[in-house]
Amino acid sequence: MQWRTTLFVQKPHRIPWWLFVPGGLIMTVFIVWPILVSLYTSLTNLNVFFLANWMTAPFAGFANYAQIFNPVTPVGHSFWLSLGEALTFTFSAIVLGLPLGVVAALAMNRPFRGRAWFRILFLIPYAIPIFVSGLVWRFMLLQRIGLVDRLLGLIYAPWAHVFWLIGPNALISLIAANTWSSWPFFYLFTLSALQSVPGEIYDAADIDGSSGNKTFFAVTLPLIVRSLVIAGTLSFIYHFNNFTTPYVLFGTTPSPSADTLPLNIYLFGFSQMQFGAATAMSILSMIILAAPMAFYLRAVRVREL
Amino acid sequence: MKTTMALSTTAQKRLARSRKIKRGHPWAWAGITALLSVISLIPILEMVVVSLEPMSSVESGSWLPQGWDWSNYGQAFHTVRLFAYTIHSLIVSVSSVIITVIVAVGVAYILARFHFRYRSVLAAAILVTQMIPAVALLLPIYILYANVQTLTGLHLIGSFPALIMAEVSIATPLAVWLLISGLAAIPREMDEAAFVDGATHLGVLWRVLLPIALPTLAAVGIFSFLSAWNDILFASVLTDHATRTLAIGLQEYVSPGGSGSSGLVLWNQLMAGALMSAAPAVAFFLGAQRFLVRGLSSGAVSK
Amino acid sequence: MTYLQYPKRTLCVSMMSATLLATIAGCGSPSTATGHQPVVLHVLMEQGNVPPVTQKFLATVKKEFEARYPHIQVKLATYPATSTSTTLDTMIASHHGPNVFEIGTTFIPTLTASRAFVPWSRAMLQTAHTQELVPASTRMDYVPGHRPIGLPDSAEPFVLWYNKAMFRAAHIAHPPTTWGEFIADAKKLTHPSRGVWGAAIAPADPFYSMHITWLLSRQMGGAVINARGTQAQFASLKVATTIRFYLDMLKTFHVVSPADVQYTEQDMISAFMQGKAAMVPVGGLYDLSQLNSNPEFLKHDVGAAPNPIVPYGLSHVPKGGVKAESFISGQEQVIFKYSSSSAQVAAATKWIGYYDSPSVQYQMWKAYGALPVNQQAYTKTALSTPLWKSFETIETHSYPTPRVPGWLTMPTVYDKNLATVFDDIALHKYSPGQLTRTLRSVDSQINTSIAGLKTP
Repeated sequence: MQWRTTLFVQKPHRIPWWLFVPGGLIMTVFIVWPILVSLYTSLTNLNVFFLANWMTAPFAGFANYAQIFNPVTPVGHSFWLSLGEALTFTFSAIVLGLPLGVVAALAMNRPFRGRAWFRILFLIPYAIPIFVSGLVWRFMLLQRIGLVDRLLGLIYAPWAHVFWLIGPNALISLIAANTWSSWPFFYLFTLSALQSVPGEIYDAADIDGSSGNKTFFAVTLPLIVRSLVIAGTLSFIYHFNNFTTPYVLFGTTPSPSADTLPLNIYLFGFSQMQFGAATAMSILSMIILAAPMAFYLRAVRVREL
Repeated sequence: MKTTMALSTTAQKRLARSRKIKRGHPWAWAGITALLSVISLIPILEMVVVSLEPMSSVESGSWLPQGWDWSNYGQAFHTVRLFAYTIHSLIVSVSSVIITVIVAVGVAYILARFHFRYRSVLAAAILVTQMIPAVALLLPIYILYANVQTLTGLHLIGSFPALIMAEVSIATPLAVWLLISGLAAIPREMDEAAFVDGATHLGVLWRVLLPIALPTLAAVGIFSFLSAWNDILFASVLTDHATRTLAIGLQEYVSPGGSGSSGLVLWNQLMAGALMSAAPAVAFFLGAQRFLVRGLSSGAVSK
Repeated sequence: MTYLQYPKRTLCVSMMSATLLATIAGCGSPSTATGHQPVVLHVLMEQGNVPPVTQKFLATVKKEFEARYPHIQVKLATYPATSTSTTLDTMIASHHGPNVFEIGTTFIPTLTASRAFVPWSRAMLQTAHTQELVPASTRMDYVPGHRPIGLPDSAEPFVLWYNKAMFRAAHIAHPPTTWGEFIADAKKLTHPSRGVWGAAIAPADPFYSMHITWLLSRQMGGAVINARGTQAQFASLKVATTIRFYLDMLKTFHVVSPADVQYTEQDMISAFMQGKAAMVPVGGLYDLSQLNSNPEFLKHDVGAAPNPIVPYGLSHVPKGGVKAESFISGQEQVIFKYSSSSAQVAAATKWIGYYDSPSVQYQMWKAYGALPVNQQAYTKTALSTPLWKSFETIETHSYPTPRVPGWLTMPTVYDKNLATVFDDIALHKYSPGQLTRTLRSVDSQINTSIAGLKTP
């Protein structure tokens, strides 16, 4: 009985591992194990002939990786092109979405009549499921009957009657559609960060005679910058791996200028059944994402972790 | 405001002036608000208009709808099984939110509250797992299910539980991370006090930590709900006729029919269907957004 | 205090594991087919956006089949065409899937190579009354060196759609039979100021360019891939010449609208329906379901002719060329090896045979508008109209696309690359030599992926 008493006193220090088990189990079975399988298949020549018995696919060493790293091979060419597109897409989401979100949040942080309605209104694009907004944008970007083309025609813009969903324009369409549906994410983060800024700080700034712009850059921004860094990193991770938006916007075979990495991996793997190359691409994509992750870890800096 | 009361008159005047400056460009702010509102609303209005037009009017590309066709809404339910798909999506998303929150709280509690070797390694590993493209997980997970199904005879592929578990696994790593920072933000003295009062780990979680971290929980819930509701990859192979979700079902409108029926894209019905299928997610999100704004500020981001 | 904690902890552990187990366990029961129990046959059909009438068709077939074979119980399921790749690949890799699987003809060589589907014995072919089928329609199934793995359940030949009213107005008596006539007629029918064009094409479609290129080059005597299926030959003289002709419809002859470069098959057909294009070369039979939405137009103005067979600039099919009016296309039903017991294979053979029987084929034609593959179905009066007779003739003059495993990657690579050439033409950015460069790159891309396809 003695040890029980001791335990009672030190109880908080005994780690209740059973709380960890369900989550740990799920992540091991559904994520770690598949990653290990992908690692293995990335070292094999897994294609249509071996798919039925994928364990028997001939071992290819680092041949798939060598192909990817050589931009002259079709796989490598396609990989680097897709990587560039994925990065363009990912950074555009931040570069365009973040300022929009911050401005909107600043606008909503000022009291005015009907503010509650606008606060909600701004969240609607984000709340609309991607598989819906993708289809809406696909329709709006159609030549002739789509709204975008009609609007551009109305103002006699030089880009009127352009095909937005094909060729190099496809990437622009992807970025536009995605910015529309994802900027409220930054708005949300900024708004919540602004709410935790104590009002006294502004009063103090007022006393110093600081003007609106100055107040923002000298007082507000430093206080919310950490939130913005976190929002930016989360957005980066999310968009880099975003499969749904281009898939829904273009259908399975998009213009080569808009098949971002996840979609390209899908096409190589599932459409062409070259799973060896496709899984090698996935592994590399995971490694590439490790950099922003390190950034995120520093930014979050969870206490004592 | 207490500070203001204590100010001298000159300071008050200066304050009034600067307040004026701060609010000095109401028109600029109003303009920004109006512009952003228009941008946010245009695609939605376009959806509404197209969903009420006859197909001939959609095809004509005219500005004003040439006639109205309310039957699109009714028709949309017949062309694809919209109602059933909505129910399926709700089952999958709600269940996956509940399970994600439960398992993620457990993991986050361990990582946020206890010291052990390799703790930070473990935490970082959880984040790394989130970096793999979901496309790469699809085939191994399917093979896993198929083997378990063959070995045990359980019906997995095409069942709700199989899809729900896949959605949970996708949502868990981020949920764990949001919760770690949410829980770590709560002063440790609070649970110590509860332990002294004889509380159990569950008791501490349930009565002390989770009520404080409620906004973070809401944020986790919303993100995992959206992730499950939007999933198109896993749902494409893990669902069948009886479990097909909206994200897949809606694609049927734009997918060629198979067996000799390519089918015109019925944009008007598609938009009606799209509006109706967006409604539950929008309602859920807007209902919960209040928590989200607090959740992101109180725990998830700030210390 | 600690032991007081136990019940709660146990409770919680069991609750959590219950949740997990429940989720893993799911509901339902294993399906076995032994002894006197009925054989359960899982059938997975491709189906997308179809009207309710069509949805009823499958249910009716199932009911009739079960009435005829009381010991077989059919479990029908459908999948949308957008999920074809994921459905197929996960099925093969995991050995888990339906017994009968419906998929497009174009996948057959790849499916054969995967060896995941049951090769049909002579006895099975007899059970399914293969001798009753239109011979051309089964040609895709005979992959060299392999037994067939399935049978077609519908045929969808590719035709030349033309607008009779527009032809009358332009005083053109017959649809063209050579590509030279095609261009000449198209020029007469083109009126850009009115937004009316002689023809419509669909370069943005994932398969259209591959289809028309294959057809044109077969007529020319070229081959997009060598017989052994090891070398893509898009840059070869004959094939490149036909591709140049295809591009010239837009670039030189201006008989198609520049807007076509963003067209998929559906856009192409809707341009035709609206009278914006007078002809659609290599248009699918399944486009009829779209045309059906305008019955008057279909009845009076729509004509279906064989695609022209004589290459542009020639007066007859050159030596080595074939008089290919279409390629063999349609849906196939195959039997999945891994999940099928011998009883299920036998039942599957009966199902496929029943689906291909004259009466079901006729019902299918009424429901979907797809062409029956059973010769006897054509004796029905409704199918004896000139329009449907012409489809039947075209089907018999159809040739199979290359039956090599690498075929599946070819449209993906080729259409994607050619689309960029079309885009550049439409945007006036095309430079001489661009086509040759693109085709060489297409060849090398395809060759690399085929080289990866080493047989075990």
